[in-house]
Formats: sequence, structure tokens, C-alpha cells
Amino acid sequence: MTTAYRRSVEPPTWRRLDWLLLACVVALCVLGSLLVWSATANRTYLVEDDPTAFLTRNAVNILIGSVLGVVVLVTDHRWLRVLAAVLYLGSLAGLLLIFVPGVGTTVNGSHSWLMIGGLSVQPAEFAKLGVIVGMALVLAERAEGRLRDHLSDSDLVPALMIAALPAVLILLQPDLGTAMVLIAVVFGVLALAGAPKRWLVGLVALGAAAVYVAISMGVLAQYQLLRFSAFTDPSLDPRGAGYNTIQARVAIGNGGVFGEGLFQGSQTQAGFVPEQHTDFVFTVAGEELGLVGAATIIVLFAVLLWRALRIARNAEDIFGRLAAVGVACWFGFQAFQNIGMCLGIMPVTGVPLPFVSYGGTSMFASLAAVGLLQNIHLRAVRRPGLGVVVRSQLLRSR
Amino acid sequence: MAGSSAARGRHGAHGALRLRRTQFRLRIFLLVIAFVMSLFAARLFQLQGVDANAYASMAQAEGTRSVTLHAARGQILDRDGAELASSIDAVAITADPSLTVSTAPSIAAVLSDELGLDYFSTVDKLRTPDTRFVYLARRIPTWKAEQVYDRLAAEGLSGVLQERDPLRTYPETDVAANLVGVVNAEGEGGSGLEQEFNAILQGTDGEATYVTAPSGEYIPMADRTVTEPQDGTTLVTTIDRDLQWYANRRLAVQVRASDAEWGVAITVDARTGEIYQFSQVPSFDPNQLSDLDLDRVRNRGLQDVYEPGSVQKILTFAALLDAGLVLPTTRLVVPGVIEKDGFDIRDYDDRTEKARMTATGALALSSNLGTIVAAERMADEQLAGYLRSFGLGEPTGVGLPGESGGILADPQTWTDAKRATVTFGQGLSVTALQMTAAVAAIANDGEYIAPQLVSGMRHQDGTFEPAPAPERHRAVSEQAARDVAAMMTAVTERGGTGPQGAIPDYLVAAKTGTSQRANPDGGYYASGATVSYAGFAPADDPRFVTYVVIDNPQDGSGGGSGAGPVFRDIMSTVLQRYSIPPTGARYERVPLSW
Repeated sequence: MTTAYRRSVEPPTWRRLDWLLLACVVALCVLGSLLVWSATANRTYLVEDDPTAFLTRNAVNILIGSVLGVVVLVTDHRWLRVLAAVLYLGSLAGLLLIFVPGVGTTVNGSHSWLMIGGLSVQPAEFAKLGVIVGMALVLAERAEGRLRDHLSDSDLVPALMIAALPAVLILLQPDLGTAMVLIAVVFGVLALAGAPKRWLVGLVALGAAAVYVAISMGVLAQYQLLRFSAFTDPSLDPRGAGYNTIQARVAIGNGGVFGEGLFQGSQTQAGFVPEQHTDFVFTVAGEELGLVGAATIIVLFAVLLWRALRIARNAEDIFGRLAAVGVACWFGFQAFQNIGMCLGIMPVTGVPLPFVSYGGTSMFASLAAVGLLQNIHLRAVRRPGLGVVVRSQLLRSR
Repeated sequence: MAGSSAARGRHGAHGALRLRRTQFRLRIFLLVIAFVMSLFAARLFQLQGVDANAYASMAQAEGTRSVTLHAARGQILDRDGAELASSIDAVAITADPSLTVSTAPSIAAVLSDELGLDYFSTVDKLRTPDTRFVYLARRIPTWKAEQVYDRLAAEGLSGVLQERDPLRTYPETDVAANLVGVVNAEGEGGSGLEQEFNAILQGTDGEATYVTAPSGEYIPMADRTVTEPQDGTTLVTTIDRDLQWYANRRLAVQVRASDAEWGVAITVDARTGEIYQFSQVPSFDPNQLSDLDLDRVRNRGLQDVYEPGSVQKILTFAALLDAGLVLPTTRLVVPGVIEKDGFDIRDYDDRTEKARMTATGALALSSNLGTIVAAERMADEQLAGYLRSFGLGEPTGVGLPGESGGILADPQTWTDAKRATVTFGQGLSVTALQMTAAVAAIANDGEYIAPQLVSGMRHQDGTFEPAPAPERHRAVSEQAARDVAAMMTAVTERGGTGPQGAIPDYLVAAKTGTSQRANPDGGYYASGATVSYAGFAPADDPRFVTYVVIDNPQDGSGGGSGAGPVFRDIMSTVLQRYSIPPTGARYERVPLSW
């Protein structure tokens, strides 16, 4: 390919982005900002006297996340490996630092937070991205190096090690929700890497065992256990463990088809749903925007996941495919977990709804992941009508 | 994808194979996503479409709190608009136990310190299970409540709330307490005007339904429905607060000095029947609801009956004069003793031989036997008829709860002794108010006016609705009334039984009474008397009637010496206060004896 050819035929980079994916992300971020704003405007204990405090902070988070995303987007995929290593090791260090008294803070009984210069950071969020990229790198290298059809057991072990380290640290926090997301991600990446079925079955078994051990060994805090048991019958303890579940469901049910209107939801404005701007942000949509708004969010996620899997399918190399699948599994499982818990069909575990929930680290990591998806996409874009995949060389030769 | 996979250079055939496998797995992923999303959609539809109404009402019930907006109770005013009872802003201190469970001890400590609430019961209330509302204290003045809330806020304690709960106060304390009455803990009138006019004074409570946050705060933009309370109507009485105060204090001095059981003094306007003062000793402080002595709360002036004694003779002679059976100058021969049904009846002076007295003399000297002799000329039925038209035997209908009608036996059951004693005020029972109204009928030229305590209601919109005009009827002719009035002036003259009631420069018509106290068993107490003094002035143009009753004074005083001075002081005060000049008329002396 010549420079002249590229110039005449290839559209500029920004036009070759996956715009549908981007549109979904932007729409989710905008919706999320409005919902976070509505959920916090009347909670004086959160916003003190500035009702827009959380709106502003969320916008700043989106801005920072976008910058991260653009950085990942324009990074050559060879450099991505370096970046991935830094990200992975950095998040691992962060997960360890959490257990250092004075640096880590406890929120809701879970050591999930690092205080860095007044900012609270959740290393686990970046660990998800780190695991995805790390596993994709290792598996891609193994597969491409050996040119084998099936990944052998020895190929899979290092990849699992990459996931296991942060997963154990996260379980120790204890943050069952994030650990489950990690397991889903590992499952997805391995499945798409062509791992044998017994590995996949084994992984599911491992996940179940991990949950069982976490519960029976007392790693989980009492409240987390109660939430799990309350899931089976929230009315057992409506003011205690079942409270979140019931309130979330009541809020959503209260919305009806068209919702009560932004800032008008009685349950939301009354502050009945706990953690409503973070984990339970979907209930704000349910009550204030109704069936229409809630379904819109679900559809946006569906489209987003479809685009992510499509990027995986079209990826020009194994790394790209696995990374994209990893991200899709991350977003997909987390959305499933989060919305499912708001709808009362999943137990309550504290995971944020990507792009929508308020939370700096989650927003940064999610948007960085979008940058990664677009990066993979750009390297594999087919020119319309030609059926030819645009090669990574295009980027490389710039 | 399948078509292009073969071209994927360096992965070669292996890559294509794997791609096919992953291709399959990707499809499964998409299927899973589609399935999960459909599941969510179905669930959303179930929650928001199918069950929406149920959840909406759950939401409604959960986040709302209804509070009663207590209507302010109407005021009770005196004739000039001064407050006898009024409601001031106050609050009920309430709590949401779901928020105060953990902080109950700290909150209770503050409340017991500031309001004197019992610490332990307050802690219990703050921990009441399964409710979001309890009353901790009612009717706390706003300024006091603010202190409490400031302190709770300073200590970071939440969950203690408030609502409007007006406090009833009685600025006159014990002065008009038996008339005005009290409001009980439930906010209902428990006695006096508060009880009788409860429905009017009470107003209608409103209700507000708020959407509340879990912290109990009202939510700014959420729906609320408010039914405004309708404040109660103001009751305007005929009482003159200052006169009431004076009479009360004057009566109290006498009751205390004579170590009497109780005393009642009533002043009415003879021309209108309006009660200007209605005092009772001992009374009570309606602001101190905690230690109420029911004997003091009772209105003795219209709930207690007693035998009126010689004051009754006014009515007997008025009847005789009206019927034309006696004139003021009628000469009577009165024996020393009259025996009826085996009872010997004597006069106060215990003389043994017969006396010659005029009808005026019989009244002025309060001769029981003279009255019996004069009344021999009238039939039982007729006498009883006159007494009934003076209001005896029936409640006056003044508008206070528990009013007694006294006891006036059916004349057909009268024995000779009964008939004889009724003429001078034994063997029948009256209330002080009945007797006052009866004497007022003499003062009002023979026309009886039912006594009136409430002049009307002032509504919230400022309009005044006068009370229905009191019932009036003629009891005796104007001439008879004037003649009796003239005869009564002899009582306050030198030689009469009640010169203690005389007021310099005024012509005062009066009559003393000293009666044996009937005991509940139907007999009489061996000792003790109910002493009384009824009168009006100016005698030739009567304006005010005052009646003073003192029960069981221990200093041996009679109607003249015991109740007379109280009558005089109250009467001079009211005459001055209402600028009633002396008429300058002189009493045409009728000889008391012949």
C-alpha cells in the first residue's frame, strides 16, 4: 500500500471510529449525568448546599475518562503492551496498598478504596482492565507464537495466573461483585481464545467454589451475606438486608411507563433507595424516566455490547479479539449484575453500572476501555464496499 | 467473517480453524446477551407495566406521613374583649422511632433535662417498634421547643420532629376559672364554657400529607396535600374581667376570714340579665391541669343547691303583693311560736309573746312567723306558681354544663310544715344563680330575664353573631315589684337586718338570708348555716343585682354580717365602674310595727 493510495481512499481516523459504539457511550454518559444529578440534588448530606455538585464532579470524571480513552485510542498497539503491563502492575500495587492502614479506606464494610491526595480511587476498576489486557496479551502471544489450533493447558495457566492474583486480592477486600465480574471476564476471554470446554466448565466450577468459600470462610462481611440471603426473600427483613432490594423495586415500579419525570420521582427525591447515585442509579431511571427510560438504557447497553463483540469478531489479531471480548464481558456482566440487582433478579452486590453510575475510577476505566475498543476497531476497519480489512500497518506507518 | 477469514495471512489454517470456533462462541455470547436483555425487558415490563399500580401505592404509603394540623381553639373574651382564655402557639414534640432507636438515650437525656420528661419512658417511646410516629410531649410553647431543637441539632441528634399543637392559657388564672372551665388533655373542653361550647370553640383540625424522606424531612418538590385547619370561633361573654377579679378577691377575703367552706358572688344587670361577674371561692388555676381538685372545678353557683333562707321572703312578699293579698303597710299579728305538724317554728329573736308588725316589718326584720302569717292568705298552688315564674325549680339555661334546677316540690305534696317553711326559704333548694335571677326580676320591675353569660360569637371572618335573646316573662306586676323593692330598702336602714349592705348616698334594696344547712340525708346539720345577702341599687331605678352566698362560716356571722360587707363592696365597685349616680330618692318610711 502506498501513501498516495491511503490518502485517496482511506477516510480520516475520526471518520473510521465506531460511531454507533461511541454514540451509545455518550448517550449513557449523558443519561447517567442527569440521573446522578437528580439522585443527589436533594440529598443535602451529600451535596451540602450545591445541588449540582455531583453533576459537576461526574462531568469532570467523564472528561478525565475521555482523555484516558483518547490516549488509549491513539496509542500504537505495540505500545499498548507496555501500557498494559504498567496498568496491570499498577492496579495490582493499588490492590495491595488498600490493605496498608492509613492509605486504604473502608466504605460500607469493604476495603475497596485508596485515598490519594484527597481523591478516592478504586484500584479494582483498573484491575479489570489490567486483567483483560494482560490475559489478551499472554494468550495472543502463546497462540500466535506456536501457531496451534488449541490452546494447551500450559498456555492457559499463565493467563489464569494473571487473573487470579488480583481476583484473590479483590475477594479479600471483600468485594464479591467485582470478583464475579473478573471471573466472567476470564471466562469470556478464555472461551473466545478457544480454550477447551473442560477449562470453561472448570472455571464456572471455580467461580462457584470461590463464592462458596468466600461465604463459608467468613471472608464476606455479614451485611454481604445478608444481602445474598435477602435476595431469596426480601420481605423477610424489609428494614434490614432486604431494604435495598425492596426500595429499588418499589422505586422502579413507581415509575410506570413514562416515569414521574426527572427530579420528580417521589421515592428517589425522598432518598428511600440507598446508594442511588452509584450502585442503584438504574432505579432513578426506572422511577423518573419510567419503562421508556429504563428500556432505553438496556437497549443502549445491548447495542454497545453488540458493537464490542462485532469489533472482537472483526479484530485483526488475536490480542484485539480477546481484549475486545474481555471488555464486552466486563461491561456485559457488570450491566447484567447491576440492572439485575435493581430489578430484583440478581443478589445485591456493589458493582456500578458502567458509564451511568457515579464513580471516578469506574468512569476512567470504562472510558479507557472504550478507547481500547476503538483502537482495536481502527486497526481492523474495513473500507466500505471493499471487504478489505484496514490493517494495523495503516496506523503504524503514520 | 467466514469468507474473509481465509485471507488472514499469518494465522493460516490454524487461525481459520480457531476463528470458526470462536465465531461460534461469539454467537453464543450474542445470544446470551439477547436473552439477558429480553429478561430485563420482561422484568421491567412486569414491574412498571403490570404491577405498576401496586408499586406506586407502596411508594405512596411508604414515603408519606400525615400530620394533624391542630386548629387553634377559639378565644373566650370578656365583655370588653379582654382574654379569659386564649390559645398560644405551641408544638407537640414527636419522633420517628425508626430514626431514634440508636440515639434514644441521648435524645431522652436532652428532653428530660429541658422539658422534665421522664427519662426511661421517653427512651421507650423513642424505641417504639413498627411505627414512625410517637408523641413525646404535647403543647410545648414554641420558644421552649426551639431551645430543645437547637440543643438536639447542636448534639447532632435527628429524628425528633414537631407539629403545631396550640396551648390553652388562662390569663386570669383562678379568677374566672369556674365559668371558663378547662380543656382536658385530649383537647376537649372538660368543664365550664370550654365544655359547653366545645364544638364552637374547637374548630376543625386540618391534615397535611407530606412525602417525607427517611430522615423525616419534608421533601421540597414532592406532592403534598393540605387541608387547612379551621380555627375555632371566639366566644364573647358578658363577664367584666376587672369586676370579676375584684369580686373574686373580695369574696376570698371574706371566705378565708370566716373560715367558710365556700362562697359565691354573682352580679347581673337587672335590665338585660347579663352576668357581669360570677365568682367562686375556692377556685382553681386552669393553667395547672395536673392537680385539679374536682370540688374546686365544680361551679357551685349553679351546680350546688342549698336552702336559700330568708332571701326567699322577697319572692313570697312579691307574690302576695302581686296577688293583692298584702300591702307593704298591711298590719300583721304574729305569734311567738307557730306549731305545724308537730314542729315549733320560732323567729330569730326567740320571743315568746305575739308581736304586731307590718308586712314591711316582717321583711325588714326577717320574721319567719310574720311571713308565714302573711302567706296564709295565698293558696299553695298559687304560691308555687309564683315561685316557678321566678325561675325556681328549673335550670336557668345560662349555658354552663351541669346546671341544677334546684328542688321545688310539687305543691300537692306540701305538708303544712313544708308550706310554712317554703315561705321563708327552707324546705326548698335553689342555686345561687336561680336566686340571683329571681331577685333581678324584682329589680327589673317584675319581669324575669333568664341570666345570660354569653353575649355572642365572633367568627373567623370578624362577624359577630349575637347569642339568642334570653327568655323573658313577667313574674309579678311592676307595682308589686316596686313595692317589694321599697320594702327591701328597710333592710339596709337602721333597724333592718342588713345595714352592712348599705352604700352611702345610694338607696339600696336588699335582703339577708341565714339558713340551716340541709344534709344529704334529708335532715339538717346540727350547726352551721348558709349565709347570704341579695340586693340591688339604686332601689328606685335598679341597675345591678348582686347576690352573695357564703357557706358554713365558722365565725357565727349571719347574712347581714357575713355576706353584707362583700355585697356592699362589690356593689359600690360596680356602681362606680359603670357610673351609676345615686338617684337622690329618699325612702318613704313605712312603720315596721304597729
